[in-house]
Amino acid sequence: MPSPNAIRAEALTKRYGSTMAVDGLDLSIPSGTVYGFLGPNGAGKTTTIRMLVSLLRPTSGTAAIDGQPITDRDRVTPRLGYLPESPPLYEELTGREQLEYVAGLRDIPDDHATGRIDELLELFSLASDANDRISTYSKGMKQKAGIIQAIVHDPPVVFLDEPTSGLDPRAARTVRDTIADLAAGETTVFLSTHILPVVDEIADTVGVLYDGDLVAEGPPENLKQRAGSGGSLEDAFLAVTDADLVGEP
Amino acid sequence: MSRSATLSRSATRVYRIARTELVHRKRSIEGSSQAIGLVIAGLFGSMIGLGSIGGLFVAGRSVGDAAVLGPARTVGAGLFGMAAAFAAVRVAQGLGLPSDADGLLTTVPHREAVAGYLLTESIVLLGVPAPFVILGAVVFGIGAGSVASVVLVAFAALSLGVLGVLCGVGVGAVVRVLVARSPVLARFRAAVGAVLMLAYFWVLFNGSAESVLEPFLTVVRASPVGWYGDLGLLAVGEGDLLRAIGAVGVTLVGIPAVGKGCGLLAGQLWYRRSVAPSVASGSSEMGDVPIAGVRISRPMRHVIHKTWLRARRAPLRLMYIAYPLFLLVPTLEDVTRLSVPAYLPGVIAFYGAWATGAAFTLNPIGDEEAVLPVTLTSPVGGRSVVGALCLAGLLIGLPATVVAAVLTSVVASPPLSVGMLVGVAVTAVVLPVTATTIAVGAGTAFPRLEPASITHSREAVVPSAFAFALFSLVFGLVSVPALLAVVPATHSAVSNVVGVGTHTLLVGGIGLTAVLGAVAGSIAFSYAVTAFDEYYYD
Repeated sequence: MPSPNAIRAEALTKRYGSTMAVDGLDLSIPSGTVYGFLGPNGAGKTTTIRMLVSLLRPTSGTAAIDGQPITDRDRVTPRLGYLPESPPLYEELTGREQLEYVAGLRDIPDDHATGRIDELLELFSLASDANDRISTYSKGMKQKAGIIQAIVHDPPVVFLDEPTSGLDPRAARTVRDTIADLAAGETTVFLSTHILPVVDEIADTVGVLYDGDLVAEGPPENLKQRAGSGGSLEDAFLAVTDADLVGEP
Repeated sequence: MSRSATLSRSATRVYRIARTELVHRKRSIEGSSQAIGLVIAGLFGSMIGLGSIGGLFVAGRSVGDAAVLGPARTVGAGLFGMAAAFAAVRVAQGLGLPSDADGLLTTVPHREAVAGYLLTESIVLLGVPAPFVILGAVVFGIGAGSVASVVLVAFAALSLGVLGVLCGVGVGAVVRVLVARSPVLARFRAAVGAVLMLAYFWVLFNGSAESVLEPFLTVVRASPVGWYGDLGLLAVGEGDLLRAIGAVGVTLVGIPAVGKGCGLLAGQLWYRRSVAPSVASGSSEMGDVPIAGVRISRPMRHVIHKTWLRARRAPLRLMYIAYPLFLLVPTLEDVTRLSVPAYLPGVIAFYGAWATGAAFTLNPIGDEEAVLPVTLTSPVGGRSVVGALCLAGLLIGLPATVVAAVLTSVVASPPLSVGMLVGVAVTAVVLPVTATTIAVGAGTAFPRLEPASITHSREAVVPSAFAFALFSLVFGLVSVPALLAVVPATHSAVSNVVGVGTHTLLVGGIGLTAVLGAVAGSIAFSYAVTAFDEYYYD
């Protein structure tokens, strides 16, 4: 039985010395939804994700993933999958070895892992390159391998940081479809990206982070309305992250 | 635009390339240990330079009294050889000539890019010696009483230097092209490099450098390179006129021709895709790894398997564990005479254990590299990861250490007693276990996440210097009682001082090391597990 809010954060704050990276962030993201997390460079998106996946200790505030506090890494990690901005891969291994390794870390039985890996390699058109070393992969192929290893264990919550970066249109479409399929299967997807049409197409809710503050949140349609009639998500994004309007410190 | 204006612009661009490269290289080593090494090497070289200047004055004074042409040709051959060797090694290692020059090649013509890099390399290698060469030429001219000799000696020596650098760049580029084209060489280049390095140290420590270099110098002396000796001595009536003219011809025609050849080789590197091991080498199947009958968990098996795969496919990452082996090169001379010193088994047990600890457990957090977020956000605990890394080292290092130590014990001269042999074998079991557990603690106390230069052209994440120091210090201290007991010379000395028998000393020494190792290892292992479990990117 999934908890009502797959991701919940209350006054989540991260400060580096005198620099405020994330300032009192509140989030309530229901299960089975796609949350588009937007913001300009340096807004604090990656810091937020790293806190939520228990890689970074918050300065203050609390958060929980699938009902488990992020301070308890042992209980949180089985419930999440994470794709950082740079795909975390060993260059010396082949794609298949890398995925088998991660499946092994997650204690997935070998025969089940093999089937699941084959299925995902096929889905992402990586099967024919699976036995090549990752050092020979293009950026897009590495990105695909990174996505597969983030979802290989069917986690209830997936954090994807720029998942379509470096992907060709077909692969990007596969990623969008996969995210939609994950959400349809009650998986919660926390999607950080700069590619606004992707968010516009698949996100149920969009949050815009600016200088550590959540300056806007709501369904894409609501945000677009803030930009005026006929406005796009890009217009809305530019409006809510306009330094003059937001109040540049 | 006139031809002279075109040439002038081209020369300006070449100068800019060289100047930018020099600034880039200077800044890349500023504040590093490499800079300190270069300063020390520079001081050492300056002393040699000053000595050589004195020698040139003596040579100038002895013109007419003694035959100087032969030595002049030999010195010229040596100068050429040194410049060529340094340049060849640098370029073969990836310095001097980049593998990828797309940015520059889309900005300036190919020949200007090549000329810029060759000029840079010539300045890097000849910039410091050049003033000594010119001063030496002046001193030689004073000694010989010939002003013309100053010009001729300086011209000959600098020409030889430039020719040597360019030929060296060419040789280094040939090596790079071969490695870039041959899948076999690309796969085994680490092994080939290790063999060459071992051979180098062998020649250096074995005192056989002269016998190795002499045939080379003979060939070079007899080649057009030897003509520069005639050119330098032409003004004092010692050199052959035709050969001297030939030397000038080599400078005017040969140097540009060699430069052109370097350009062609650079094109092979820059415009053609190099081969690289692209598929899994060896089996990637993972079997069950039962330890003392206990089947270990799936996550641990995967960590062990991954650790071995990475080590096998990128052995250069572990090159640092071979460095202490060079200390054993003098011992190799005894070994080649089929004489194994009695201290060697103990030394091997110690080194084997040290290497076992240093290989996979001295930087458990940093060795995860980019995959660390995945490992930390997976349910696998620190005990499993740290334990698996210890096992990855022990499953290979322990048997290898025991076999090497026992085999050398059997053939040691003078022969070891049975008790001593057993003592060595037990020590070779105790020390690796101690080493891995201490290493994993030192490695988590002082992790290193940033890559460091392991060869001149390759970077990898290697353990930090503090981790090395702490591990080596603690492991060294813990090992002392056992080593005192199993090395015959120290065994006798300690036995005489404390007045105990052989077996008592062996049991006491090895036992004390085992107890100290168990205590230090347990503390270090527990620390590592906690550090791994509580690691955050703060």
